[in-house]
Amino acid sequence: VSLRLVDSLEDRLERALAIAARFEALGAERRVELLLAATARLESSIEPHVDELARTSGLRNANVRWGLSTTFETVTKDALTSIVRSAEAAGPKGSLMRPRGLHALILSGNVFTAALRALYVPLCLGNPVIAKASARSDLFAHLLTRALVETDPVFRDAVAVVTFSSRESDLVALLLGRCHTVAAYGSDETIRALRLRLGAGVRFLPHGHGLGLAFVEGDGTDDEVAAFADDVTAYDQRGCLSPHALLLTGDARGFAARLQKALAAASFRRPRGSLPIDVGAAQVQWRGVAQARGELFEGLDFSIAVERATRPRLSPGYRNVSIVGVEDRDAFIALAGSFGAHLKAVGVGGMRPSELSLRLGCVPRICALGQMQRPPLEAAWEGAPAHDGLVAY
Amino acid sequence: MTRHRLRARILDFMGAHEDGSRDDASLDALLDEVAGVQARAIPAYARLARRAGGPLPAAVPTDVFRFARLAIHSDEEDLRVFRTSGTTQHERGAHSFRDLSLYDRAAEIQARRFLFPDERPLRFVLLSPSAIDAPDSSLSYMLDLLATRFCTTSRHYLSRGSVLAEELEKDLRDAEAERVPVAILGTSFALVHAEDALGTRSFSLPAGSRLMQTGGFKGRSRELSPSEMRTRLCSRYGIPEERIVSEYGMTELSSQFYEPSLRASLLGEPAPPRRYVPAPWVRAFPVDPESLAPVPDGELGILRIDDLANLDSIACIQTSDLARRVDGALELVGRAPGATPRGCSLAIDEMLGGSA
Repeated sequence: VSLRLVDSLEDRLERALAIAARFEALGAERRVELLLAATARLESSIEPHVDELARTSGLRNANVRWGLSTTFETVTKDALTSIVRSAEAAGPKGSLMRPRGLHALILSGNVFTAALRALYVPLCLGNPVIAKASARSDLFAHLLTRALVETDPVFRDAVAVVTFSSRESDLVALLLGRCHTVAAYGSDETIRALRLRLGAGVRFLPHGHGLGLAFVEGDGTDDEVAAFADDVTAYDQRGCLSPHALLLTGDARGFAARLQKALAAASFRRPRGSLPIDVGAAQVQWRGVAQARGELFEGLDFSIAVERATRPRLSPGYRNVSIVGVEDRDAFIALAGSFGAHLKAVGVGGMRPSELSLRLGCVPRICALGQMQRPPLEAAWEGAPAHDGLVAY
Repeated sequence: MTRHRLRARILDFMGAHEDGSRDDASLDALLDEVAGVQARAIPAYARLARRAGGPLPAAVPTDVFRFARLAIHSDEEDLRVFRTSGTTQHERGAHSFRDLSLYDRAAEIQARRFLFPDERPLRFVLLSPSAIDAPDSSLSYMLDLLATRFCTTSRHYLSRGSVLAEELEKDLRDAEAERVPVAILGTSFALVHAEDALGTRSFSLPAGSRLMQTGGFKGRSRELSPSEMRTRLCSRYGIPEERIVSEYGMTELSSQFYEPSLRASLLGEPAPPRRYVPAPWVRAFPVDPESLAPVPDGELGILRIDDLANLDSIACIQTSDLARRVDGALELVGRAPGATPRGCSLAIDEMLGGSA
């Protein structure tokens, strides 16, 4: 099996390298057109795959559909063009922007739609992409590449998804050895291991461990409570943008009681998926501590902990969230700063997102509540613009 | 007074079932009584107990030992406090004891039954820090206790995390020459360190020698599968594989579980499966993580342990260990990775030092 995979990967890499010049020559405008067309094609044909996406992602169908629709809606001409324009504008005056070359992408399996942004950004900038997906959740990436190939034959060589275990060190070495840039999503351990294997001159774009927090100044409106329930419900709170805790200057217990109702409604619309037993074990511990030292608001498939603590206990995800009272905005900023670069999203209520500025080194995407799991395609990621590392001048 | 009477009844119960016989109806009744006393005396448990449904008393997740005092007495009355290791969570869980009579009795009965049923004089080789060096380690306390009951001489070969390889080799060679059987007792990671420290040196320990390993690796050494570990230990020390057993214990408990293979081997019985046998005063079963109801035999769940010997703290404990029950014994599948979130989320909690 390994030999066949080596042959196949070798072939894919050769083809991707060979098409690079032609793919670049297509021009950004044409690539944007093709990406838009492929997205429309996939969106119109995705429904028969929802059951399988639910099975492989562990999410329920309604949540899969929500993930698909909110992801597809980010793919607009404006968004894709803006990525290209930003990249062009970032270079020295009068310089020519060029794609860096073959891009390797190591995907993680926690948010099944994450493959779209991870593939589209390098592609729209003219980089061929070979993506390694995890065996248990590679379906969406495969569907995406199929839609691209059906849209234009150039994608037969310019994009490929390969599936193999990270323990297949010969395959990992082959993939990393041929690419000009490598983006990796996963645990910090995975990132560390990959970094050690990179050759000189390869641009590495690591996306390690992360989480989200929310902050509300005041008690929060009912709309904000409902929006936060959507943030918790999305992808069953398994993503690196998912909020683990909400901190507010108002009444924590009152917010939790309102959130309980909002989450019950959100869960009715989009029930939680299956709970892996090890997460279940962690959930029992997390909820137990909340019961013993504070208050726990439970629903059929969620819980909300309110504890008197200076910092929240991070939850195992899967719709378990802490509500913690803080003195003021400065107290939140201090707490958020302690997470450093690991803090990837902050949802904000009771104020405009632009009013919140965090400490240096803490670079999450700051957005309104309800938008935490809906980053625009062109949004900066971990403090860097979307094109970061993918172009040269 | 209630506590005093309960303690006496529990000691009687232990004594009556020293032979391994079970009386689960009486155990259930006693556990209910103990849990009731604890729910009345421990505010954190009272909050948990109020929300519990079903026929069994509420079980306290082990993490709660990190965040709340769980004892029916005041901290001024603590005789001893055992603490969980600090490698996986910043805050260490604390298990407080007003007296150790139940702990000692439980440890002694279980060890006599599963480690020393032959009552043979043994030399103890302890791959653990002493209770003096590690006063808050329940394992060190237990091993030192067993040394006072079951051996002729004992010595610790672990000092400041390092194996005293030269001393260990010399004493094992002496035991070989003098034909004195040895009981090697230690943690899995200390045994792995000993493997590394001893290099190519191997031994043929006298007949009657045995080895007990306990605990996981906790990131302190490279990890080996249980069968690989047994094969290595067998080859290193010349102890037959069936006389190498694992113990399962937790700081939050007062009783231990053992594999029965050593006992069977010493008594000339057929080799039983390598499953952990709960003490007669312990009720242990895997539960469904969502409903917390017991799962059917053979199915995987998270292990709940109700330990009558935990009179002064919490009798009913919910662990994170994955287990299945087969023929009344337990197959441990592994420890769930605590509160480590999934995917690209993480245990930043640990990285930053846990919650305040």
